[in-house]
Amino acid sequence: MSVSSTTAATSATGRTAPARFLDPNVLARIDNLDLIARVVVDGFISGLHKTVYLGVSTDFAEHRQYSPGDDVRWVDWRVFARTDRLYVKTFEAETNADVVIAIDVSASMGYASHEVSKLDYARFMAASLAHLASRQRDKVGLVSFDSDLVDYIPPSSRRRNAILQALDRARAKGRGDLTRALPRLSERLGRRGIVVVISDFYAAPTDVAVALDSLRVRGHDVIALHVLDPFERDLALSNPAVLEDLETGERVPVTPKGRAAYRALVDAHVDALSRALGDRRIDYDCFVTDRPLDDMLWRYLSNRARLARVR
Amino acid sequence: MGFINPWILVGLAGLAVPVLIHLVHREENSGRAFPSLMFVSQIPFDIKRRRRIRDRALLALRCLALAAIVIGFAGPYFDTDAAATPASAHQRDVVVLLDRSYSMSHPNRWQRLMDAAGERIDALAPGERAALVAFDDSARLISELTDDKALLRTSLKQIKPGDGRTGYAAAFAAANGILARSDAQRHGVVIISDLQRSAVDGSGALPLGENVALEIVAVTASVGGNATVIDAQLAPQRDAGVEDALWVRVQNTGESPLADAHLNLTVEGRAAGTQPIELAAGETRTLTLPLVLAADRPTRMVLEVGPDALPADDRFYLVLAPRRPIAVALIQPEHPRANQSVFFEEALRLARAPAVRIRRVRLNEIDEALLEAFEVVVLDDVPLTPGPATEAVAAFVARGGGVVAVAGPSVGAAWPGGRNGFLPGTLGSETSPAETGIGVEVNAVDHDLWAAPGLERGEAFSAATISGFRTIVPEPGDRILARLRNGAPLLLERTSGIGRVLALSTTADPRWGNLALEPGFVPFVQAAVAYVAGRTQWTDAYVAGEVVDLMRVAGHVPGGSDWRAFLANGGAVVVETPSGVAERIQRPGSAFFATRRAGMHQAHRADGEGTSLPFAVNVARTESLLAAAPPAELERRIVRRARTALSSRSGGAGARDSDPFGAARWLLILAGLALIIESLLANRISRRRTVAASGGLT
Repeated sequence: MSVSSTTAATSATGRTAPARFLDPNVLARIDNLDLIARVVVDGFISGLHKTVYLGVSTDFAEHRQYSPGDDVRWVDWRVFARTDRLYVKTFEAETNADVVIAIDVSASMGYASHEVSKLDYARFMAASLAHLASRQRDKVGLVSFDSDLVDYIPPSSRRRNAILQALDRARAKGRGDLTRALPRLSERLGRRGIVVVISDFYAAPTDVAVALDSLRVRGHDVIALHVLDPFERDLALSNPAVLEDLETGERVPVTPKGRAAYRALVDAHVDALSRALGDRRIDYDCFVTDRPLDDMLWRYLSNRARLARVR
Repeated sequence: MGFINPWILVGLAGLAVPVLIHLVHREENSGRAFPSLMFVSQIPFDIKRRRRIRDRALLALRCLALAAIVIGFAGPYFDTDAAATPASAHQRDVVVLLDRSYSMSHPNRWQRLMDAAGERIDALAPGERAALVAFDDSARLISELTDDKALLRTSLKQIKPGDGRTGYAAAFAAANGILARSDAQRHGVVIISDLQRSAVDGSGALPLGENVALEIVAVTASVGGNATVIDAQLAPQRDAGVEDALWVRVQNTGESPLADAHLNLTVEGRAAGTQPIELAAGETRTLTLPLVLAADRPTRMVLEVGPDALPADDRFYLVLAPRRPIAVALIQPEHPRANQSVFFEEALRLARAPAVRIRRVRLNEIDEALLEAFEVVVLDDVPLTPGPATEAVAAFVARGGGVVAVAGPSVGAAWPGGRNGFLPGTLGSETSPAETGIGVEVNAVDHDLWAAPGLERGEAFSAATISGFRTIVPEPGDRILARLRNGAPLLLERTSGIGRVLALSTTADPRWGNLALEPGFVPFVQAAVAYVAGRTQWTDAYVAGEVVDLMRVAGHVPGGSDWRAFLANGGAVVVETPSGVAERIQRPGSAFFATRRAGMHQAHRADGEGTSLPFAVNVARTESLLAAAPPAELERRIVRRARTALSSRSGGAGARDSDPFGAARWLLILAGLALIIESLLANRISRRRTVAASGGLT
């Protein structure tokens, strides 16, 4: 699976997402993660057709008149006692799942060849997912990591603002090593839920798969979102240049001639990740930072719906 | 090959710059941040690729352009002779400078010059070379440096005396140019000339190389009595009815008295008079010859004196303008004021050269047919309301007629000016300045109008004080010839079609100032009428080398407006020269002809229509002054300079093979071409890469 083929497949689903609001370069000009998340999610939701996924949420927190067929367990008897009428309680419905968003904040995530860095894109993703999860009454938590856990906000239905502030504070620095960080995360997480890992996955595909598997084996439903910058994907050099590794400081001279070989290596890496994680029933998708965010949301909702059906 | 400015070649070091830029700039010195080298380090990488020069063609073109520019500015010259022979092959190179000016036409002088030059050629020893340069006021290389005596003698026989005047500067510049390219051990210059005192006295410093041996050969021959016409002009007519006469100044430039000589006048090929001449040596006398001039055409004349010792300077050619008065229509309004235009009329009646024939014409009488009889229309404070009369005047101007218009109080708003009218500017209101009036400033002192006699470049006109005027706002193309001191235009010119129009913004009488009472008024009115009629600055005789403006000549002949229209429309002209050769003026529409030979010339329209325009050309009269200066006086004017200093100044005859500016010009053209090709190639390469880059991503 190559990066470009993923994008093409996603766009072939026939949805009418308002890409204007989901363009990362447009979002980058909004200096408010909460607003970004609302713009992305609300824009995305308004662009959806009637699908099964809207039903998974416990819609409206209100009293509704009882109608034949309603489960009598949800009848608010106290209201009945006062008013002598049957109302059904819908606002106290239980949340369905814990959603933990794990975001890679190693130095490599700070790279940007255009307006939006990979970390920015990851922040947009995380904020949007947090907002979407809140709409669905899920508890949302956040973890940032490089070679270790940097910040941890346990899943909660009332800490969305703390999550947004933590995302705002996140800075890309340090060397990344998810093979160390993710197992530690799995130790922290208690209740089973959905773990969304956003990273550039600079590690051998098998190592990545092992690290993510440490979460899956504890019963979490794992979604791996791979973030790539367009230049990082294509190495579109016009002249020879010296490239300096953001994490190690190592320098390597390259020429445009090596571009094709580089692109083949990246594609092979993405394919290997896709296969390795697929074998472990871990959802994987690769996103380039110049693409709209609706692909990511679509992927999340699909997974969330599947989880609901399983339960 | 050598260079005028060899130090500029240091700039060739700049050739390294594009190479270094190519090698260094292609690689970014500072590392470019990248997320991870996990895959980059796996790319097979050819270290040589970085150091290899890409786009060699571009680099070569840039280097070529830079080299061509640097070498071009260094001023290369090529010495074919020096290149062909080893440096030690010639012991001595001599440049022989031969005076072929008009004064050498004296038979004895020319023969002596040929003899002296032949002797120098015969005297060449083995290992010695000579070059021949003929000069008058310019120098011409007759023979390159050569030791072939037969070739030199043959070349010598080709030289004939010309009509030019003596100019030693050109001769020495040519010699310096030739010797600058010589690699002989010794250099010499031999100048063979009659050493005319007028030419020697007129010479400035004559540069010559420090170690160049100079030999001056004076070929003066005693000239007996030699009469020459040094000037001839039409005698001014003081009274009406007096016949014309020609004043001729004759001088004996020889060393002996002249007796039994005659001055003969030929008019249009026919003998028209003769007078005996007796002149002491050096004596000048003015003779008067009665004359009857044709009224309808220029009169061609030849004055001939002799017999004397130097027949070559006996003839003097001149062409006198037709004795044709300018026909002026003084337009009168239907109800003229008392003394309307009386100042204008009286000023024109005094005109003599040319005379003016005035006729008062009522405005309502004007039509196109009537105006055909006139060259100039004067509108002295006459309102021109739209109608047949105005249209007739407009058509008259478009055909080449002239108009002098006065904007006074009676004109009102009837002024066919503006952008499309024939009168200059847009007429405004009447303005009365302070009681003391305003002075006048002449604006274009180089204008032909102000060159007229009595106007003293406009100074006489500017003495007036104006107390009232009409504002005239000039349109683009209108020329302001005089202003009031407050800046308001006073005299404006417009060319409408091929006709000329002058407009005065104040009255030509004492109502609005004292202009009409000033001494400059009469010459101004006469000059204004002559100017708009195209009858200015007739030249009786040109000097060889001067440029003739045929447009001015055409203004004086009948049908001159047709000639002016023909020239203005780009018509080609053929000039018949004294030698019988017809020279076509190369650039159609050009009205200028550069004279070279003395004698009578005739200009014809190439389409065969119209009358011909004659003009006379004479040799500079200084060439007839045969008194010689001693060789020491010429030698005193020689300034010795280092050879390198001279080489950069050398030109003239020697420039034929060593013109550094020619080589530099070609090199700069080559640089320009290289840069153009480089731009095209660079664009093409860039476009191809862009397409390839964008195509590789999707």
